[in-house]
Amino acid sequence: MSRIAGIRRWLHLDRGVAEEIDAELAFHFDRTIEELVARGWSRDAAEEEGRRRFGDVTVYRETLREIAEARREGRRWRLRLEDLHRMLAQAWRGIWRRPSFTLLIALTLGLGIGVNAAMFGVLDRLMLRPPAGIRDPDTVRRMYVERSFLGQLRLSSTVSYSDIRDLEQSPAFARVAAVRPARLAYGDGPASRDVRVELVTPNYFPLLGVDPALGRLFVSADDSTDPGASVVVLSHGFWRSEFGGDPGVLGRTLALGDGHFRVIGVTAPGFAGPSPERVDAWLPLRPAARMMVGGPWETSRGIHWLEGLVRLAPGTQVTRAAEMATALHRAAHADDPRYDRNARVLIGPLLEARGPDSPPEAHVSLWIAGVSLAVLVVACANVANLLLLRAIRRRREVAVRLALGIGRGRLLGELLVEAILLALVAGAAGVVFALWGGEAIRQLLFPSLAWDGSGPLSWRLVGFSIAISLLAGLLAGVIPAWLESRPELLEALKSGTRQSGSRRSVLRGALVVTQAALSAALLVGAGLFLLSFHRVKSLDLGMDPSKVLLIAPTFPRETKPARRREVFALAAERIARLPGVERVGYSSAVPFRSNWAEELSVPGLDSLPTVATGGPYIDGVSADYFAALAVPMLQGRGFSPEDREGTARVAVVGETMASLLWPGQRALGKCLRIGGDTMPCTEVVGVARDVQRNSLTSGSRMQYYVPLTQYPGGAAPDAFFVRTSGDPVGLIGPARAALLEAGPDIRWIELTPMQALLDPEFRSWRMGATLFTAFGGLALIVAAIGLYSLLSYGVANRTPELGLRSALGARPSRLVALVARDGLALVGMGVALGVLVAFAGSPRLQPLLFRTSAREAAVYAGVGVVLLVIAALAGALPAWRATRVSPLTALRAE
Amino acid sequence: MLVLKALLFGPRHGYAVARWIRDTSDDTLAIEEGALYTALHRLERRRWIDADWGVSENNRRAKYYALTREGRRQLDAETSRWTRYAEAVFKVLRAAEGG
Repeated sequence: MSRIAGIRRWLHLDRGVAEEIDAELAFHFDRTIEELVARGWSRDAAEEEGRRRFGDVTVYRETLREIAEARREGRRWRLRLEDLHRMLAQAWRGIWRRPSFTLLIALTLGLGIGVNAAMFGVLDRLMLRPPAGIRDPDTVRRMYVERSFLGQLRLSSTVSYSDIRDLEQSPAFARVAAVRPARLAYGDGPASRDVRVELVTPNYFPLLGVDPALGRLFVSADDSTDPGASVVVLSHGFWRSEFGGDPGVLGRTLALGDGHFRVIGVTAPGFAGPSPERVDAWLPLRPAARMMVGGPWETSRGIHWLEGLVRLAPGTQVTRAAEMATALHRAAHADDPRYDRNARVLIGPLLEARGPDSPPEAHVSLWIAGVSLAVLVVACANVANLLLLRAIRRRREVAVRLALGIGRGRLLGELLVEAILLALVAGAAGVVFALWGGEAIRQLLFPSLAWDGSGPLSWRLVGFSIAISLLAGLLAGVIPAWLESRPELLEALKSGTRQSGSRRSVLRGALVVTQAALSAALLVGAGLFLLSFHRVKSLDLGMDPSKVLLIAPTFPRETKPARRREVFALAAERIARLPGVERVGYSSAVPFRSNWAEELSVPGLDSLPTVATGGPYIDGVSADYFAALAVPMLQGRGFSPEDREGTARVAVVGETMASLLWPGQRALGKCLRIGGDTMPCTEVVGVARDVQRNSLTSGSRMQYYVPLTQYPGGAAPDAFFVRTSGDPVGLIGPARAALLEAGPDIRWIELTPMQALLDPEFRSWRMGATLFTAFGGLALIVAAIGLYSLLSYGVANRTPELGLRSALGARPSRLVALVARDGLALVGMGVALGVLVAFAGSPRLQPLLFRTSAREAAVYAGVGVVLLVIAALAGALPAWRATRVSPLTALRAE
Repeated sequence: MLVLKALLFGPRHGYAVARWIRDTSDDTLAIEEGALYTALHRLERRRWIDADWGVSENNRRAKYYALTREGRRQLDAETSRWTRYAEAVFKVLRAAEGG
């Protein structure tokens, strides 16, 4: 149907539905009567016949009116949709008329949207979405105990088995389960690798509401110490990846850790444990506990190694549940006078990142999410700037359209639709960036997160991207669109740029200042994190953990220390002969894992000095220990094979211990009485560099070493440290074999590169440094583009003025200065503002930094210099162009 | 369906449609003309026919109805369905005669 007809019909409808119907019916009656009269009927009879043929006129007229009303309603919607469709089509054609412009915007905004979508993906997993596959996850909570220990308030999510069982007495909890995450070797020989398992009590699956996809889940009988009954439940993802989803897996026996476990079931798809970290398999707690902890873990309240999960009873308030749990906890510890009477049980959310003891990654992630929002704002400012430029360019066209009678509202609508369409195109680009970037972020920072629940491209991610695109489109588009629909204002804006800089476009300047300010703030953050990361990385650990393989065997519990020492000595020899091995040492304590202390008295001192890091700590080590970990001797010597049981007792002390015990004196030759003041002297024969052994951030502590063979009372070695010439991972298979030859009764061997022990310690700084730098750099690039476009445009508009100046004899350098000055002034203002923002935010960032003040002057100064240099560069090209303006062109342009 | 068929040979106004039905069905399918207009308006709402004001044979303004593409499709479909139904009935009747 033609447009004209449509409009005409529209008019008819407006004239009134009833009139139209009456006109149609009147025509009908007239024709009927005419015809009948023509056939010889009398006029009255014809009228009578016409009414008879038609039926009840009043009723039919009413029906027709109803139909027309309904039709009109439908048409109104249709017209509106058609209108929108037309507007969209027009905008779509419009944005591709200038593809370079559109692509520039899509790229700028797309990056902004992409980083936000990527961070949303991370946060969604870490903090927003409960782990998949859990029924009614809101009422599943985690147990924490807060108590004061040695004068410090500590919050812990690992508690004793009894502490968890206590909660079963409270009606506030429908179910209570204990969980212990662990990593076990899966498979045999060189093909073995790490899998993540959870040791769980039988009510774990019922608590979470997880059903089996295959076979069955745990029952109480599985939780027995009978070694013949060892069973395992696999996750759906692990079953699919390892066994290709073969249902025949039931009944098969898998080698896990030191034991063999019969597969009894596979969990429902999607479920991969109650935390963002993926779990591959589950073992019943009791049989597995034997390999992990010794001692009476079921009854002792001192062995803290389990996490408590609870399912709140229907209708129970969290605060009420926590009160009841606290009361039970205090009552259970009432007979222990040393236990904190004010200890509290907290019932935190299932997602640890939202809980009271959230890991630093969660904080850093939140910061990064804020940072990515800032990047988006910078991108929006840039796009607004570009749209504004275009608005100024199109002002004549718009003026003509307004003169032709298009409504301002309609024009505004069209422009907004266009901006939003642009933003959606950018959003599509953003999703692509997010998929790349999100994958990179995930690989870099959270290698073990379970993402397979929904894949990286979830509907939530797409929905978020669309929402944020719309928002960005509005943010960037609303002011330019508003201005464009009022060309008279634009004229003022534009002429402002022409009038030799006295009334410069305040708006566009403000956009550049905003961009520069945000970039400056982000770069300050990046600088602070980079500095922290650098300081952590270059932190002198006192040893060199790279190229060291840590081997920690587990013996049957009844194995005597003497037998363990024998096996260690024998295995060390064998491992040392393997190709690629440089030195093999072993010791009774593992840095970052275990600490030992013995009673110690020092002749000449009434008491030992106390330091915050505790100690003195003792470590029994083999002769090659210092060489294997590359701990330098500062004075004296290390140990040799001749230092053994029966020879003179010797010790090596750390530098901090030496300087605290004997300040200003030589430590060599001094006497230590290990085990108390009745013990014989142990002579200090060496002073070793301090080794960081607790965490990267704790200070130096008092540490001393004795030969393992001279350890008072006899200690058992715990782990080997194997220094290799190549990648320590390549040694895992042969070393395992050599160790098993020396000690066939070893039940379980952990082989990890030493660096892996340290990696979690670096993670939050690495994350902060990487992402702040990436996003800060992004913001900087976008801001530089914005500044460049502003200055170029300024030059283009000032062509006559510049030409005139040049004609009047202004030197080129003077013109360059004139143009560049504008950019530098704006950026300078932005930097000042950004520095203020960063300064104001610095106290909140401080806890995430390492030995770096959040107000480190060098970082602020450096960022300022970098931004000004970039501003100068962005201004250089337009400025150079300014010098090329010939007076002739200038006058012609006027 | 008859209404659609009436429009098959070009746009007509309501009176002409009524005339056509009356003539072709030899008054056997006499329906109230009010019902006819109701049908026309309903079909218009369904977009099977399209309506526009035009000028009639005797120079009067009249509302003309025309078949839309959708309406033509609908007519084809209904015609074949009706034909099949009629054939089936016919066959049954003939079989009854033969037996």
